Amino acid sequence: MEALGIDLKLLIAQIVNFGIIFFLLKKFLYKPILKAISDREEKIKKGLEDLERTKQEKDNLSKILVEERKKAETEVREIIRGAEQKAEEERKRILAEAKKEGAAIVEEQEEQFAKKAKELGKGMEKRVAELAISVAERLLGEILEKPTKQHLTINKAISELKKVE
Amino acid sequence: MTKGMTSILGELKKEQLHQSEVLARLEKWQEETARETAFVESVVPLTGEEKKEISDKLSFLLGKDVEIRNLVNKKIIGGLRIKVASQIIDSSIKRQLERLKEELTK
Repeated sequence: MEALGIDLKLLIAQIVNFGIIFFLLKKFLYKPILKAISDREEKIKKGLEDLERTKQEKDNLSKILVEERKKAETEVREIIRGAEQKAEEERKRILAEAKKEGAAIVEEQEEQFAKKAKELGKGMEKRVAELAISVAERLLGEILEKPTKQHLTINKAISELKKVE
Repeated sequence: MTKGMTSILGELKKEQLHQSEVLARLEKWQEETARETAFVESVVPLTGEEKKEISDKLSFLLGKDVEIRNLVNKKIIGGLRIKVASQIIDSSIKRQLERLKEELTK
């Protein structure tokens, strides 16, 4: 050993020193560093997991949001359709009522017109009859002016009287 | 017994008349009640014959004598209008025209 230039004592001392240093380093430096690295890794892993979970939650929320939006849109469409349908029904009802009222007014007007026309016709008939009778009275008065003709009417009246039982 | 006869008998009872007088008054009452007056309207005065014909027929119908009182009324135009015993027999031309008018305006 000496021929090789190696001092055995020194070697042993260095080995012991190395062992001590190794022991100390392992105990007081490596372990905390490894633990810190491990913790760091664990933390990163947890962070990644949280991130993944958050991402999933976000996706879920997005899905829920999309579904809710779709649902809301469907509801809105239903409401709009319902309102349109109701408005259409209301429009039809108002139109039907208006038509009905219009028909009733027309019918009433026609009835009134017919009634007035009838009254007018009746009035005309009455006036014509009155005029005709008035003319007949005057003419008969002139025709029967002579007493001989009057006695003819009297004899006719007596003949009718004789028929009474 | 009629109301008129009851009235006469009541009056006679008050006056204390003789039986013959009572009978005379009753006969007079009978004559009065047995005669009716007919008011006959015409445009010209009726002749005696016309009056007689009317009187005979009315007497036959009423069962009592009928006296004719002729009233001239030019408004009836022709024919006769007779009022007797609360009845009217209207065969005047005026009435016939009125009936015609009623028919026309029905």
